[in-house]
Amino acid sequence: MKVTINRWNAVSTWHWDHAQEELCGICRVAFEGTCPTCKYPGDDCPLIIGDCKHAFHMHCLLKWLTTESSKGLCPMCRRKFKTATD
Amino acid sequence: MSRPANPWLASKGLLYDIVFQAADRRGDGQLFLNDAEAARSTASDWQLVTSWMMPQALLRSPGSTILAAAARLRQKNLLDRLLNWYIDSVRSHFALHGLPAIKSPDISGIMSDPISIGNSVRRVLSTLCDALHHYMFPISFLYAEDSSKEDMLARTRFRHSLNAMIDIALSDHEFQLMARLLVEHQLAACGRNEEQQIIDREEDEPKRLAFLAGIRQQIDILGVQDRMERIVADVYHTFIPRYVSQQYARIWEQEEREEPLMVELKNLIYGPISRCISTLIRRDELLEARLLELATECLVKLGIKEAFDMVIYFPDSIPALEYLKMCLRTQEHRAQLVTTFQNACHARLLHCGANTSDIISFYMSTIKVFRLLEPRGVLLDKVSRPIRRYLRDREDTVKCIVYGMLEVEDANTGDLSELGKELAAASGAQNADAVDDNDYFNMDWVPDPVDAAPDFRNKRASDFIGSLLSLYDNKEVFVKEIVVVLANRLLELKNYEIDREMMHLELLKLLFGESDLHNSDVMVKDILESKRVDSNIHDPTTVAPGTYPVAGIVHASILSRLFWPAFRDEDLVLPSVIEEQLNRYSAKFSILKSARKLTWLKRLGTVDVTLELEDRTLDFTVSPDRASMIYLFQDKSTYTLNELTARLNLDETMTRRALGFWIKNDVLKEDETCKDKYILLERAEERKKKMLLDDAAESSVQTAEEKATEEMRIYWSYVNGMLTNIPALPIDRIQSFLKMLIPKEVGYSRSVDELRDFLTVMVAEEKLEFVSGSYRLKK
Repeated sequence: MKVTINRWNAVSTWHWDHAQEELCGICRVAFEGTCPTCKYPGDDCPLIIGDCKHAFHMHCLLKWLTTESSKGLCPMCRRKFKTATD
Repeated sequence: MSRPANPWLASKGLLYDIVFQAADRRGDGQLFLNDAEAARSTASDWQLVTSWMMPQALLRSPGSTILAAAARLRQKNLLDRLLNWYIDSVRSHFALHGLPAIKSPDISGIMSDPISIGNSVRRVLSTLCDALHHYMFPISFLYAEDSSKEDMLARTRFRHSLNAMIDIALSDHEFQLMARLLVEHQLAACGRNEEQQIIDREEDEPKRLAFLAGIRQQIDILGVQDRMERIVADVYHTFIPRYVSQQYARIWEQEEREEPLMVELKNLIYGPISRCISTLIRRDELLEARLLELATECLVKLGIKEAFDMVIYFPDSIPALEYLKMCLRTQEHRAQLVTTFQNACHARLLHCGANTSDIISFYMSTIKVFRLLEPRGVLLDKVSRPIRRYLRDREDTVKCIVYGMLEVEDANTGDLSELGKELAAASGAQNADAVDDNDYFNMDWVPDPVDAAPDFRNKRASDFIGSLLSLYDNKEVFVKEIVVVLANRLLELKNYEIDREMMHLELLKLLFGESDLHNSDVMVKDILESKRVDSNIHDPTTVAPGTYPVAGIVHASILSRLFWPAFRDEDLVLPSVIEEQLNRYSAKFSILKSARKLTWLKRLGTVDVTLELEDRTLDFTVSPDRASMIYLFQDKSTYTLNELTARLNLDETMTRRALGFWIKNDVLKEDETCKDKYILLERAEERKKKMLLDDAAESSVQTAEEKATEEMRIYWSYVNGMLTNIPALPIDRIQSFLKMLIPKEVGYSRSVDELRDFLTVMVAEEKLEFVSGSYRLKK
């Protein structure tokens, strides 16, 4: 017998390749979820990772950085937040 | 009376009477010779008259001597006495000769034959008429027609006594029966009847009416109209209900009748029946109205009895429903309709033998039917209460409704695709026909009927989706089920074609609101996104030079895991070719979407395979486990069950189920000599009748119930703590403790049933045991 596979409809889930934490440190929602203002996860609500390796929903962090008290620091480690470049 | 009156004997008595009366008149008590003389001559007069009057076979006109004698008797005031004597003798004569003559020979023999019954009735009546004529004959000479008042009284007295005789003769049981049968046959001949065509009847009618007129004449002569009226009334009271139920039972469609039912009935009553009855008895102005009322009443009763069936045959039964609506006027009818319908529901529908889908579609028809009967919906509210109560208790109600709305075809839930159409239709015309009680310009407004239940509120008219959704207090149960169904549907898709699902989702959003179905939005978007990503991955121009293209047979649905129902995370060993392709696919994905990775849910999805066997080529669309299994058979044509479970990393149940599928499709067979050993059928064999494992479609996501139980696990620590302090508790106590103990932030709003399901799972996991009605911790 010969079995020919014509088409394989597979199912998968995506997740961010950032294993350190599961939740956004600001909104406490999973990275695969959305920040409070977004409707769709993934491309619409991306992550941002700092030099300090802390990750957040991008929208959450940008909002944080606009506040007076943030002083441009990472909310987790209080170092200057700078987007990681790799 | 039975004693024959002897005129001689009577005359002797008379003689004495006359003599003594004369003495009495003088007051001295003495008898005189001339008294006796007078008496003797009177007695001979008496004799003369009586022997003429005596009932005989032949009627003789009286001679002058007789008339003179009668005149002399009248002078002596003896006519009264003569009449008394005559009445007596007539009675005896009638008893001796008349009654036997009218006795019919054998009624049971002619019972079924309308003609001989008619003849018998006529014979009896004409015998009586003869008798009447006969007995009246002498009287007409004794008392002239236009005579004094006393004479009239005497005639009337005689006539009364004759009437009494006739009455006795007619009250005979057999005659009554015959007369009834006669009337019944006559009425039946008016109506519709299987063998008889209407044309025949019309030709027939003058003949029948003439016959009836003959009877009427005799009745008038005999003066027994009252009796006949009673018989006729009796007969039509039984005849009409029977006729209606025979003719109109279970006939609901208009096409079967040439004219509308009410018109037909009215024509019948005002036509032949009325003619028939008014020929037979005195005409009554109210007769037709009364008959029509009676017939209408019967129709209502019939309609009430058949309401349940009409719902089943809806919409074919619409004409009948229109009639029912027209006739349903009194409160008793409405109450009766509700009770009868509810009883029928309990007896015929609301039991464990009926499919939930059947009950739901019946409920939908009920809604339509009762909306038609009464647009305000009070009746509907009443009759649907038991159905709703019952549906609420059924476990798969939600599932059926959701499947119906999403037009899922499923053998277990039956066909409720009507709901789907309704969903599409309802969204357009939502609220259109709702009645607004505060609309003061609505001239069609009517108040709720008086029998409306106190908690009745006017729901949206003719909206069954709304009615079905209002079965439950919150819509959450539906949303959960919808998400599960939608997830399954999306995962079964090929080629990412989701137009239908998107349409359904939009319609459902109108019902349930945007926010509840947000997750489903994400699900749909995931599939759309997957389509884009997939075409990108397969696009040859994007393939970087040097890397060989991702082989084109894998197409992935990439899901946002938090927005989908929980998946069964079970493993499966796929064919190595596929594993390799999946790896390449995810590598490509990571290039496309930086910083993102894929996790494969290997058991999910669908596979199109072609099997090329020695004598045949077969195409299948199967689940990955089945595909992987059959792929293994390429290398080797026999496997044991254990080998398969090990190679596929599947549990035994799933393996057996997959095997069952291939065996059913005649690709594999179980070795007859060795149990749990399976052989590939390179050549097709005669199919053997064999019980196979049920090939129920496996849901790839957890069902709503499983999910509920999973969610209950957060309460486990509370239950655990409770049972550590108190060794054993019944379920009611656990429920009330949980309600009391769990802090508001966590919240506890589960029903006892949900708690029971959860505890049962805990018992199955051997954390608890259930002993004599109480739960306790397993040591």
